[in-house]
Amino acid sequence: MHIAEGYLPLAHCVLWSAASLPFVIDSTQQLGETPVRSRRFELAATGGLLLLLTALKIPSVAGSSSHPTGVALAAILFGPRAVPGLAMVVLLLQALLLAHGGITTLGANLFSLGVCGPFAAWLIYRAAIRLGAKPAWACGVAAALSSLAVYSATSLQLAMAYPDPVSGVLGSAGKFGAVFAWTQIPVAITEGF
Amino acid sequence: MNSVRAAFLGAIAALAFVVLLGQSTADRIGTDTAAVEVAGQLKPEYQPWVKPVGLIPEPSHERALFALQASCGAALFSFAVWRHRRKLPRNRS
Repeated sequence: MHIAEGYLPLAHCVLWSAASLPFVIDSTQQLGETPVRSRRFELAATGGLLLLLTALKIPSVAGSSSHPTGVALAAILFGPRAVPGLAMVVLLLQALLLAHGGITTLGANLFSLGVCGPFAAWLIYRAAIRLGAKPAWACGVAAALSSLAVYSATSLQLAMAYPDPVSGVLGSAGKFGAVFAWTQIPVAITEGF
Repeated sequence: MNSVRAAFLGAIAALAFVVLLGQSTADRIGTDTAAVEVAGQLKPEYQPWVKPVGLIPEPSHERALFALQASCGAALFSFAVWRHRRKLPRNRS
C-alpha cells in the first residue's frame, strides 16, 4: 500500500497531507493521555507488531508478494484515534531508511494505513461483537477486512491521480484494485488468522 | 536479564523468518511495484517529480533492511509482552 515517492501530483500530496494532519494531531494527544500511557507496554507491543508486519513480504498465490497491515489490533485495543501516530512513525522510518513509500506521499499512505484501516477495523469489530461474534473471531474478521480497506483506499488514491482515459476514476480504481486484490485477499485472510 | 533475552529471541526469530520468506519472494513482484506499472500504463508521460530523499538501499541490501525492521519490531513486541505479563500478577494482588 506504499505509494512511491513522486508518484502523486503535488496537489494530491497536499490534499492527503491536509486530510491526515488532524488525525495525527488528535492521535498524539490521545497517546499522551493517561489511559493510554498507563497501558504503555500494550501500546509498545502493538507498535512492535506494526513494525514487524509491515516489513513482511508474504508470497501470494498470484505470483506476487505483499505485506499485512497490522493496524487492527492497535485500533481494537486503543481505539482508532490512537493509531495514526503509530502508523506515521513506521511510514516515516520506511520512507527514510528503505525508500519504501515517500515523504511527499506520506500523507496519502498515512491516510490509508493510519486512518482508513484502523477506523474500518474498529467499526467491523464493534459490529461483529454486537452481532454476537466471539472476540477472537471479531478480531480476525476486523483484521482481514481492515487490510482490504487499506488497499481499497490506496486504489482510490492512485485512481484519483491516474484516472482511466475511458472509464475515469472508478474504472482506474477497478484496475488498481484488481492488481492489489489478487495478492492482498489471501494475505488479508492470513492476517485475520 | 529475562527481558533482554525475550527481546533477543524475538528478534532472532523474526530475522530468520524474514530471511527465509525473502528467499521465497525474491522472484515475486510486490504489489507496490505492480501498482506503479499500472500507473505507467494509464499515464505513460508521467514522471515522478521528486526522488526519494532518504537512504536508497541496493536491491540486495533492501532485504536485509526489511529483516532489520522486522527484528526491531519483534524485539519490541517480545519485550513489551514480557513486561506486560510480569506486571499483571502485581495488579491482580
